[in-house]
Amino acid sequence: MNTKKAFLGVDVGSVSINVVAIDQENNLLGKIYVRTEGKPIQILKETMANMASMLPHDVEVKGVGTTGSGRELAAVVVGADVVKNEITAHGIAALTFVPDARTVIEIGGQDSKIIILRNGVVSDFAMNTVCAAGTGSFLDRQASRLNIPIEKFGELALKSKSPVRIAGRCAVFAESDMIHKQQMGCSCEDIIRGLCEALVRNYLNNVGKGKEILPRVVFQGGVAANVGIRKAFEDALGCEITVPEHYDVMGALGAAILAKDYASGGRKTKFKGFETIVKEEFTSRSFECSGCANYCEIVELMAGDSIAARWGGRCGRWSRSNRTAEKACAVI
Amino acid sequence: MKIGIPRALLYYNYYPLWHSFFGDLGYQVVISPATSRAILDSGVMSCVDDACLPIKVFHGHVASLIGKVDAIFIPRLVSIYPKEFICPKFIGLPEMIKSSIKGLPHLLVLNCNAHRNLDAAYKAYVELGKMLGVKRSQAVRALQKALINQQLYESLLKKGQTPIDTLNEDKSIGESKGVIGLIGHPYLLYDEFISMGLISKLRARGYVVMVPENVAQSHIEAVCKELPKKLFWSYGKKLLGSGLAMLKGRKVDGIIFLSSFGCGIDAFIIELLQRYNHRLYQIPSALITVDEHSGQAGFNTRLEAFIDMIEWRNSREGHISPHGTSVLGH
Repeated sequence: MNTKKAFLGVDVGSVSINVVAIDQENNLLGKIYVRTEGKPIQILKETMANMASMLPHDVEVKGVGTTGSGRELAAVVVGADVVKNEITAHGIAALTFVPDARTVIEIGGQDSKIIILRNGVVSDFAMNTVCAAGTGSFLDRQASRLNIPIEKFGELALKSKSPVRIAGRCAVFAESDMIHKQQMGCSCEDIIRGLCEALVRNYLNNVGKGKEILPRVVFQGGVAANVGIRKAFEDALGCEITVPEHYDVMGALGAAILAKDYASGGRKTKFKGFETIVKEEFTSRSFECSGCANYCEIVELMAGDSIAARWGGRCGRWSRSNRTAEKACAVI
Repeated sequence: MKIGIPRALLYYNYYPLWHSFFGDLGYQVVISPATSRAILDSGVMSCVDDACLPIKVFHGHVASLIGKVDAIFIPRLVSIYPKEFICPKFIGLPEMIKSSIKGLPHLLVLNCNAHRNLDAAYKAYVELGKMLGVKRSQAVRALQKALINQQLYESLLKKGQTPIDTLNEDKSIGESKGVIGLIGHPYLLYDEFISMGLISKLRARGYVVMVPENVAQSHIEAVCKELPKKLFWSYGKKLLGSGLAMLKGRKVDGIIFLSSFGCGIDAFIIELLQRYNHRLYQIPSALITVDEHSGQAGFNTRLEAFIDMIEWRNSREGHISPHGTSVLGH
């Protein structure tokens, strides 16, 4: 039987889990974007089951890539060939779908990043330093505080006639400033628009500091859905912002493309198969290692009765392989 | 009598000198253990909240020596070179320690101030000897020997070793995919806990590291002469000068700036280096800021992305004009 090849990309982030499947020509076969809800393993398994039913029957998975802050976890659960950081994954996806992109603005749940692309490669990048102000989770929190569905947030901002100025440097300051403006009687739209402008100002001064932002500017990540933020970026940069069709799953797409590159060398995939993933029972626990004065928090992932992975240690005692981990257990 | 030296701050610059000086005078030297979470936690608990991470870690190291030694050596370095200063937190270090930590043994404070002349730096050691009841001639002899050990150490660093290698007597440098320059204060770079194993992680990926200690002082001075103004921070000058020397000579494939949150000197130095790099050299660079984080995920993501960027660039070298970016972007 002639089967069609497919490549999966899995992006496990702080706020959402995205899974995509592409074919040999980078055409999207299926995409799923769901909220992590603090239960990454369970949601990932459900998402994989949904993906399995979304794909045609004659499709065979030939490669899997994972990315995002939960990429190690996802790699163990699904059996990944490529485990890549978000910068590289987003950079590759942007270059593939918007070939003339020179700047990528990516705002996710906990991270915001800027990627500078020149001549088809990443030439510079930056990520937010010590603070997550202005990322998706902050917007989420403000939306729920104002009792506005996050999907309406951007539209509401566009209705504003005279945006108020909100302190954008710190999420805590921004929140108290928003409350003050609220108590002064400013309208909700104006406050939200002010918040969008503050976040963009903060992004450009912090993450984008000293970077040469040249068009074409691509805006991706979950926050790109927010038309208020998009408009604020256009106003601040004075140029058009391109939001790619699949802006919300660009990281997963990058991971899938990397998996395709991996498989093109004729290498066999480590993918466990949808059925196994759904069936496998994962449990995790964490404990404090008392091997030295660092007291690392070790997370242990069990697949059924056997240890699937352990991480969190500084010294590598727990992460080398399961057998050394057993030995380490015996030592302690 | 046992003298304790905290393994923090300028320990990485001067340990052969201090170790040899006290050892030669017949004292047993005890070094605090490598930084661990327990040391960091106790430092954070005892230190004022506004201080930077390395100062907090120093507090932790001092606390870890209590009960194990008869005296603790605390250097007060005001200036190490005429007409230059170092970070003000080093000036007040003994007072910070005295007011924050209870149950301290006797403190041996070295008062080193070479702001007027370099000889004052040596006199400080004679004064230190006096505190211990050592005769002047004996202290001078111990200092001379200690300086020879210090020079030996510095010459090893100039040959490409890092202070960690010299400490562990590890001579191997191994094969390399390229050279990564690291710019950061020694108490960040060589403290494997604070730097989250930056040097060993880069080496495990097949890269050779070049650190400020590998660059000759004469070279640093020469580069800094070309700057529009004199730099009056000794260690700031060292970082800026060595960074510029690495960039200028194109000795590195990439450069990483490691800074601790809230460092005033780094705020200037790293900004300047990034601007010069952007304008003149365009070598891949990244800034990593550390604080009290113990999770390594964010650190590893940035490091991994940085290495990917360098390797991706190198693999596409043939497609890129050697004269930097073309005007139209294609």
